[in-house]
Amino acid sequence: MFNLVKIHKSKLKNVLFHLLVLSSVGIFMIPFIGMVYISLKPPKEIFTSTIGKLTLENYFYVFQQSNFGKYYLNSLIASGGAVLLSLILGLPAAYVLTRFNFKCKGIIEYLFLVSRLIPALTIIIPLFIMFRFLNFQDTYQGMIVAYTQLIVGFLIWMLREFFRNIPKEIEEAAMIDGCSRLDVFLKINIPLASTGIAAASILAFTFCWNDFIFALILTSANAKTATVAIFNYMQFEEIQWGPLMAAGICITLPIIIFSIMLQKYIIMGLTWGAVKG
Amino acid sequence: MMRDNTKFIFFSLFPCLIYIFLTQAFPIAYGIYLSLTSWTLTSTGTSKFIFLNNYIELFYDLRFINSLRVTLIFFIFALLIEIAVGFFLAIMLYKLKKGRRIITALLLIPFQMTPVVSALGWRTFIYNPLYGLLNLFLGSIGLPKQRWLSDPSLVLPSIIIYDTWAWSPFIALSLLAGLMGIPIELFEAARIDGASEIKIIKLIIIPTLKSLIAVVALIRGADIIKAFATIFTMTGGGPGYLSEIINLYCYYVSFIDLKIGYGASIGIFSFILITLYYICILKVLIKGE
Amino acid sequence: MSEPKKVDRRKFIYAGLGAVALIAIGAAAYVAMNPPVVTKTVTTSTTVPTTSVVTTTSVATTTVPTTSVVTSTITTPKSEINWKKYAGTTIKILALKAFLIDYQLELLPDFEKLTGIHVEVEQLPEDQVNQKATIEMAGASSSYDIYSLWGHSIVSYVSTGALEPISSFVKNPEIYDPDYYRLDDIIPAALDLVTFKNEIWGIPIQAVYQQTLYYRKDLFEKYGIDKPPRTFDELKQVAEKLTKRSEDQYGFAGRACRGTQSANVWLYYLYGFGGKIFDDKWEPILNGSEGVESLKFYVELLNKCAPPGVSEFTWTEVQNSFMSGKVAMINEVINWASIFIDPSKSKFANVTGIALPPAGPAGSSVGVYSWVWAINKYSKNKEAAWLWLLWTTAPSQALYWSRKLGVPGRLSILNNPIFKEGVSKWYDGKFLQVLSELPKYAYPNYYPKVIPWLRVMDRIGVAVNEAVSGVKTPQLVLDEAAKDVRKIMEEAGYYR
Repeated sequence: MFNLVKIHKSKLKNVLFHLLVLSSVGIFMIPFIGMVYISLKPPKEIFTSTIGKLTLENYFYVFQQSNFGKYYLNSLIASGGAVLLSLILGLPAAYVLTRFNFKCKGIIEYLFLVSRLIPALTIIIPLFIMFRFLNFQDTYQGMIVAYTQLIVGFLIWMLREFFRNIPKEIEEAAMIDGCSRLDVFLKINIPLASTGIAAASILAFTFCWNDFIFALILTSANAKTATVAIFNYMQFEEIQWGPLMAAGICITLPIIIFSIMLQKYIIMGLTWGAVKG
Repeated sequence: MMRDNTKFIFFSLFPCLIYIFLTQAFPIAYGIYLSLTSWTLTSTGTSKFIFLNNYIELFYDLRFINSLRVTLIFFIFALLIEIAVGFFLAIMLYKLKKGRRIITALLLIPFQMTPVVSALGWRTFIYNPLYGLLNLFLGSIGLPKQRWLSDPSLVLPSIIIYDTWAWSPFIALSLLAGLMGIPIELFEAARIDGASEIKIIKLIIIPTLKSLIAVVALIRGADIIKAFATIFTMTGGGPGYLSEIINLYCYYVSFIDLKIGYGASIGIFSFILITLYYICILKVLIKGE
Repeated sequence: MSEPKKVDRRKFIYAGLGAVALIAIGAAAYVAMNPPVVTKTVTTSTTVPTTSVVTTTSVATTTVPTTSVVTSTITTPKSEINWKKYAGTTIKILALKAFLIDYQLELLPDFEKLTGIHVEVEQLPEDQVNQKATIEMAGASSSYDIYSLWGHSIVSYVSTGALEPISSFVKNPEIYDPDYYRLDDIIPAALDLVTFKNEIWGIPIQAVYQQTLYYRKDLFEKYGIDKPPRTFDELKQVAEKLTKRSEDQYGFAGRACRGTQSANVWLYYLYGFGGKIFDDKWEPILNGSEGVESLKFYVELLNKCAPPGVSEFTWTEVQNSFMSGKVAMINEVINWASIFIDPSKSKFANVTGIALPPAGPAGSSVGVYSWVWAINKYSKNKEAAWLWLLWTTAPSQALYWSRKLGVPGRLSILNNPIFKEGVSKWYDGKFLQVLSELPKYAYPNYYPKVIPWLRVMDRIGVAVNEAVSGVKTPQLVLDEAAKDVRKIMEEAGYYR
């Protein structure tokens, strides 16, 4: 008998909980839903409150009138390339910072983070001059280089946290078994921290994806990213809100899809982490 | 064994260090150099090395002091609120069994949108006193409409609300990743012992995640001090100079006053501020170890 | 140790899938979105007759491609200019993202055919293009050959030493022909904007009169107002009459945001009351009695008759509030005329009226403003860039894009029957009337030609913003501004 009461109570708690989650997330989504709504409104209706017909003309406009696909690709190359390069440079560095202690550790940690701590405006002119000198202006490699130095520090510091959670004993056991440090790193730490690596990578990716000050100054027609291209809809005489919002949403969507897909493998890594093989 | 270790350490750190040195040494050094000159774009050929004069001038610059004040207010409130909201969201998401994948992906949206576009969208469609959502909503339930971005007492709170909307998901997602790394056994053991939710949070989650929270607070705090594009888009620093955060002042000095040297000194100053903040966070981290 | 291997493989597969999916999306987008550009349908299109009714007399045709519809009828009159001299070069332009420039860029295929010069353009909105241009100039960069710059602050940019005056080019008969180009035909007020220290530093793209009264004829009718206000007092009266807050209707809206545009707008009222920014010794007198009175007028007008939050209004909000129907009158730039009568953009297209701006006690002193094409001193292709500039703003081409814009860059175009025909229907003919009368009121010293003008204008904008948002009184705001302006001028060396 008392079981029924307990079940009801927990069900109620469950419902309330889900309600809370949905409403919280909902609040965060309202502006986004608003943007989707505006992107579907024809130009005349944007500032009136009539809920009239909805059209897709803004999206067509975005993709037909401008070379948006190309800028998309540029963003992808720049951000994706930067994350990859940062991972290659940063994973070993993060591991070493977690497991070892040595003399200049503090300074090195700080040095890694400096690029993330310094205001962009302060270094944009010197960076601009440097890029011109190296002929990196408006190139893919230039953007990847610029973005990597932006996020590698963040990535290292985040990765440290996730490496920290892996118990030393596993590594020591493996090394006693005869594995080298490198083996341990590659075959134990990385898989076990895969949740964190994926999460940190996605977050770092978003930093590059929605940066615009570096892209604005360091690119021209060739390597221009989507975040700069979106300004195409802010004319001197008027702001084209429909296409602007449509472009904004087009920029956002791939990340969402990508991260949903990546989560599958995060959960994989999670379950393997729980099983201390 | 030791020699192996040293080699390993060296080869792991070396590439990254070299990379950072190559890409940052020159810009930062040049930035510092610029801050020690009087380079003004409109007076060509008269740029002199004036050593620390720019920094001394900063102390007498009322507009700069104002920007420090604005930055401090924004920093303290925005950071604390965002961490609180983010933490709360992270715990909720952790408990969610179904749909976590999609909701987590959706929560990427607020801070992943181009900041200028989302700030512009908020300013035009939410905060606009005439046809913005907030005022329409307030009007419909009978509350007085507000001038969100032009009322001197509301402008900073409005910007903080926007920033919270945009960035607490970032904090939530980072903390969520950390939560998922905590072995489930710890929770189960605590529950068996009969601990309440709040106790679990206090005694398990916070200590374990302390360093992660510190890292996230560091990154987010630095970003807040560096903020420029969003506030520029939302208010341009107005009304008057009431929302002119330090980096926005740097922008005006560099691009409108065309005083590149003085602007660089403001930038370096905020960099020093951020470094001081970094040192504070380090102390917290060390205490935790 | 088989488990980690499994994880490795699976992880690899999923990561690979994810990456491939993302790349596929991007590539698909790129491939699918590379079809030929949809030709824009121009709303104000009339076919241009083939007999060139261009002001220059002699006609010689050069082969023009038949693919560009409208330009096949624009012919390049005979001149001594060696168009092909720089064939094969590529020039890059950093331009504002604006309709007015888009129309000029539509002529690019013809230019390339004529000269063999390839043109690349990068367009950005106002703030971003200024930021980028400033950094390029600071870095003495030669990435771009031509910049588009703020006309009101061209003096500030000239002082950076990064611009090349046109005198370098007009002496060369191979790339300049005075009869062909007719420099005197460019609207004098606009040309004056770019003249400093006896040099002309760029070519104004168009002459935009900063003040024109747009109003809602239907609202006027409804409240029994038979004609648009002619004086400041009338403006206030009409605005008050048309303001019904409970019905969300407002009589007037104006810019008051923190920025240079607020200064731009307030200057009209300052001059209308007989005030000035500087006296003849460059001492600031904007806080004199006329200044304070004019600011008080503007503040009261906005606070009483404008929508709430007007102190945030940039030009966007002013335009939107008018187009949304909530505001009855605005006193704004002439080049918005084409937007308000476009039925695809404005719901009130056929009830929008246009009139001369109301005059203050000291008259009407309309500002003339323009975005300016300027040649980068560090460019490696200066002459080729000059050729583009020359050709695009030459009389026959100017006719083409001025017609589309509705705002002429040249005096001759104002009287040109083709141009007139294009805009004669606008506002039932009143547009043409207003356009031809505005030059009478153009005030040449609207933007004082001082080196730190950009900075001064920004400071004044802050003052206007503070006054309208009620943070401080007009007197206090102007006093503080005057002090700061004096310091700015002192730093720039004006009081030695």
